[in-house]
Parts: sequence; structure tokens; C-alpha cells
Amino acid sequence: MSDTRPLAGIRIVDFSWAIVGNTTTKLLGDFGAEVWKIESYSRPSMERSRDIVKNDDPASFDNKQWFAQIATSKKSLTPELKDSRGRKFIEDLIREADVVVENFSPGTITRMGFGYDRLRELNPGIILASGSIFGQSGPMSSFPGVDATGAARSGRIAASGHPDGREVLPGLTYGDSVLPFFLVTGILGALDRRERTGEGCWIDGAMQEVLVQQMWPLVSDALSGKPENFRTGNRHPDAAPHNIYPARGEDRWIAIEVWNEPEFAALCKAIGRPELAGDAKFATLAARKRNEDALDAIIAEWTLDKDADASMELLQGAGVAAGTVRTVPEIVDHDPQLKHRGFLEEITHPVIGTFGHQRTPIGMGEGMQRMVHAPLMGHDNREVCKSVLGMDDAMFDALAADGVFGKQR
Amino acid sequence: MTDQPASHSVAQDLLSHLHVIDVSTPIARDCARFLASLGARVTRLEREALSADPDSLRDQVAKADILVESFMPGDMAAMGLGYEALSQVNPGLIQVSITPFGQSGPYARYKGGELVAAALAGTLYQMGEKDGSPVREPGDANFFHACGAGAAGAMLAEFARRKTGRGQLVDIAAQEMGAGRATVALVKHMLGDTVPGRNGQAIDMGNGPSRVLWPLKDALAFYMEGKPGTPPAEQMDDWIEEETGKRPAPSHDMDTVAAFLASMTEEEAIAKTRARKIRLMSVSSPQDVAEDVQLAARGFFTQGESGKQPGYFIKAIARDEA
Repeated sequence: MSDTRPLAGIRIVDFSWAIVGNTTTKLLGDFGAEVWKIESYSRPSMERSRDIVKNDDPASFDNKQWFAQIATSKKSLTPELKDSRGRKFIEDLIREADVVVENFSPGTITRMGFGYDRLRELNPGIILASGSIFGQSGPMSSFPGVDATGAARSGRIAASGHPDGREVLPGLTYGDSVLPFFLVTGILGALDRRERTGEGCWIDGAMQEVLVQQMWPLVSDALSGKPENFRTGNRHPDAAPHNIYPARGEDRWIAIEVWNEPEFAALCKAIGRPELAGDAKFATLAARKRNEDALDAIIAEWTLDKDADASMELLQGAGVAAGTVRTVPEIVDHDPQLKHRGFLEEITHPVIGTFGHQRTPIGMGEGMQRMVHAPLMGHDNREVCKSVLGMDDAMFDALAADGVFGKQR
Repeated sequence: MTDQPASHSVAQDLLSHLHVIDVSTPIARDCARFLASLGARVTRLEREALSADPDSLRDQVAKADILVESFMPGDMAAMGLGYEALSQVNPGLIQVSITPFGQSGPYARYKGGELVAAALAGTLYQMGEKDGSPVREPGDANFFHACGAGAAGAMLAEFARRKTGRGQLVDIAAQEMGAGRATVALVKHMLGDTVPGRNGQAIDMGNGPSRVLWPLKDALAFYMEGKPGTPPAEQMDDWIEEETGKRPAPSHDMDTVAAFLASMTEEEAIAKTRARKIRLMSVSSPQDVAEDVQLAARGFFTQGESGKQPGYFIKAIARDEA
């Protein structure tokens, strides 16, 4: 059966070694592209080497759950860059590829000998996609950074936290998770343009810039004399109530948002206080903003002894936006909507076994997306040498015996 | 980068052949904004116009490639404008629907803005002081993420359309976008490890909490605490020893590091950590963002009707042929 996925036939050389690049190429692979992940035993992908769970075996590259999640639908190749035959292997693949993806600090890929101008010599129509914190040009381009570096320079950290508290950081990545979707759109647009013009290009995605796009409405408000709109905690300048409220149990919470008068009347009725909707203290948004502490206290009194999911269902039934503040165990084991969407799909990994893999969260028709388990280190060296570069087994065996594809440590 | 050949931006060429109709609500407007920044021709229709004259949308989509919408699932169909009906007008139509929970399932008709979507996504629980209440991320963080996925989905559907001649519905849920960011945490949970919760000014990527925010003399800075004996800790120890003549003992002693960083101005700290390849970065205020030297050097801001505003989302560069 032929591959019906949208990117079937597109070939990617993948130099990614961290979240931005790896998420980008996971998406491309899940939707059908052939992804050649260039790794090496001397410098493995970050997610392959970090022991994030206590039962990972530190001696193995092939049992890392993080890598298993982020490297679905890729082939693993392990040419040694120090060996000229390893470099030639990469160059030969670049000649056969449509796209090269990388997320090194700017300048690194050029120093490795695979900068954009060298890539164009090898393959004039090539598209290079680079993800970084600050972008490929400018005075801060080469600054070392991580997810939070981009957040720091976008206003995001300064805006995080309660208005009367300290700045805080989320316990989850944001820029690392968001940038890949912008890179993918750019890559697909560049492929599209190449079909029309015959010309490739270099996609330069900077986390700082994408985050400033996200933050700009708040930054702009703060600059135009509304600083109170910058760090609002769980509140919102244009809505009230808009907060989280304690629920029954330890560290249990429910979020509630009200955006107009019919919703406020519905909330008041649902919590058994219909008279509040006509109370001058709360009857308009302006009044509710003035008396927001008192209003939040009234709502909290109602939510406090109730199960969060039960309150959510009751309020949603009444037409009020409400949601339980879910923990990670709940999003894995309990949330019926995420289950319905197939957020985690059970596939079998040859070393780790069968477990829920995160799909790329883009819902499309049947046959558009399919995950294959993450590759074992070097698993596809022989197959790619034969099917893409036309070698026979003897040629491959000779190279492998000489260590061109590295050695297990 | 001075020795590089001359180049020009082709960002506006990438999607210049695509016509997008945008009927999204404000929370999902960045999807069409992003497509427009890559050259797509975007026509905006307001909801009021749609309700008053549903035929106007039918006429528009007959000539369009992509429709972006963010109404409650079922609301468009109730106006006779569901995907089924629109794809009869234009079988090649790609529809990107960006909603809190997606087009089907038990929560599909649940109401939610960013706060409620973040709650059910699990992202809200993960930020805040350890002993305090959870606090949401700034702005419409999960919906912005969903807008990026919507744009990528539109292009995937465009590639599929070339093979089949048919468009399709791209279904994006802000909740699932947020939940997807929990990779490390969900792996830990699935393997029976304790999942790190919110941690104030520290983050935990699996090897225990590390402090990440530190006051400088005149600013706040992001710097991830080095664990004693590791190369990052030794880099910091080296720096402190060179500046003060005294090496922290034990390695990366937290009080010593805190006092040292608090004695540094932002300018000093950035210049010195850059030279040493220590990952320290000052935290920008709104003014700092607007005046950021890097953004200025890259030409990120444009001058709009309402003053300074961000221009492109990503750059696309082609070399000038000699």
C-alpha cells in the first residue's frame, strides 16, 4: 500500500540534538517525510543521553523514554564526522535530500562544514531550517541559551507570577515546544516556493522573536500606560471572575472564566446565589473588577468543599467556562478529552516495550499521520547506504568494519 | 557573519499563492497573522458579518484555499457553514479549526478561554510557588501554540491536497498543545517516578530542582544553578575565584553565588558570562523588549498605525546570485 501521508517522498537530513530540532523532525516524520537523523556515539542527542527517570540504564542509548517520545518516525545514522568517509556519507545524503534541519548555536553548523553556502554547493535547491534562541544574525546571535533564555528576553518571565509575588518559571518548556511549529510552516512554505521558483532558502527561526510575537499584546499594553495588565496572575483585565478557586482535596483547584453578563448570571444561579447578578457590587464588569476580591471569595466558598470535576461539569452544563486544574498524572490517566483525541498512542519500542507515545497534536483525516517507534542507535546505517546511496552489503560492511559508523561504547 | 554573501528575504514569497479567509476570534488570530507574514493573501470577515449574511462566506471560500476559524464546534454548522457544507462549495478547501478542546469528544462543547484550556492541559498546575497556588502563563500561551500548529497543519493539508485534490479539516485543540509540553513529566509518571510539580524560581528537568532566577545589582537574571562538581558549577567557581580571589567552598555554594551575582550589574554580568560561555541572561521588562538591541539589529519591529509592532515571525533568506 502506498504511503498516503502528505510528506511521503520528502527527505530530511536531521542534525537536531535538542528539543526544538527534534520536535520539528518528529512532526515531519510522523506526517510521512523520511528523516535521516545524523547522530554519533561521541555526541548523541541530548534526549538519548540524559537519565530523566530512575530506571533508565545509563549505559544504554536505546532505553531513554524521552528520546523515544521525541524521535518517532526517524532513521538513525551514526557517521563519524572525523572520518572523511563519514563526512562524504553525509554529503551524499545532502545531495539526495530536500531539507536540512539543525538547532545548534548559530555558527556551529558552518564550523562543522555544513553551513548554508556549503549545502548549496552540494545541492543548489536545498532548504536549511535553523532553530535558535536569538536567530542567525545580530549582536546576540551566538549567545549560549536554552528555553528560558528566550523567555527571559521576551518579557515572558517578567510577566509570570502573581502581581504581588515574585517572578516564577513554568515547570514545562514553552519556547522549545512552540518554535517547531513555526519552523515546520516555514519549511513547508519553502518547499512550496521551491516548486514554483526552483530556488531553496534558509529558514531562520528565533525563539526570542516568536515569543515576543506571543507577548506583544501585554508588552504593548504595559508601554501604553496600562502596566497593571502586564503581570495579572490568574486574572484578566477584561473579564471577572477570571481565576482559579480551591476545590476539595489537597492542592486541588478549578479555573473559572466569565466574559459577559449572561455567563455571570448563569454562574450566580449555578452556585445558588442568583441575587448577585443584580447586586450593584457585581452587576457590571467594571463593578466586578472593583470588587473582585469579594467576588472571588464568594465563589471560593462554593468551590471549596466540592470535587473539581463535579463543579466543572455542573458549571459547563450551565454555560460557564470552567476546568479542573489537571496534574500530569491526570492528563495521562484520566482526562477523557485527551483520551478521545488519542493524545497518547500505544506503540511498541523494541527495547522499552509498549507504552503511550505522544502524537504530533495536529488532527487531520485518516492516513495522514503515523508514528514508528524511535530508532535504536545506528539502526538504519546499512539500509540507507543501500537504498539511498546504492551501496551493496560488501561495501557497507567494509566501511562499518573500519569504524566509519562509529562503535558502541 | 560579515564574510557571508549578500542575501535577501523571501519570507513574503513562501505562501504568496495561497488565499486565506480568516473568521477567527481574537484568541486565535495569530494563525492567519503568521500565514500573512509568509505572504499569504488574508481576507478577514467579522463574526457579525457572517451571522448577518452566511452566503458571504460561501462566496469567499469558493475562491479560497484556507479558512481559519475558532468558533465553538457546531456553531458554524448551525449557520449552515460547517465543513461539510463549505467543502461542497469548494472541495479543495482546507479548514483550520482552533478551539480549546477540539471538534469532537466529551469536552468538545465545553467553553474555555486560555485559563480554562491551560487548567485542563496541565500547564497551569506546573507554574507557581511550591507552597502557593498555581498561576497561569502570561498571555494566550496555549492558544498561540495552537495557532502555530494550525499554520503547520494548513500546510500539511496543502501538501495532501496536491496528491488527492481534496481539502480537509485540520483540528487543533489548545488543551492538547499544552499537554504535549509535559513530555518529561509524563514519561516520569508512566515509569512510576515522582512528577516534579511547580517550583517557584527553580525548575526540575529530572535531576532535582535547580534555581534559575537570581537578582543582579540592577536586574533579575536567568541562570541555572550548577550542581557541585559538574562543569557548569566549576565554570561559575572559576569566575568567582577570578573576580574575588576566593573560590566558593563547597563548589557552587548557593549563598556565595547569590551574593556574587547580586554584586554584578546587568551589563557586567552579560559581558562576562558571554566570554565564559555561562548561560546567564537578564530578564527583560516591557521597555527592555521594545528597546532590545538584538531585535532592532534584525529589523524585527515595524512601525504600524498604532506605533511599534512586531513584523515577521520567522525569517526566510535566499542568497543573491553573483
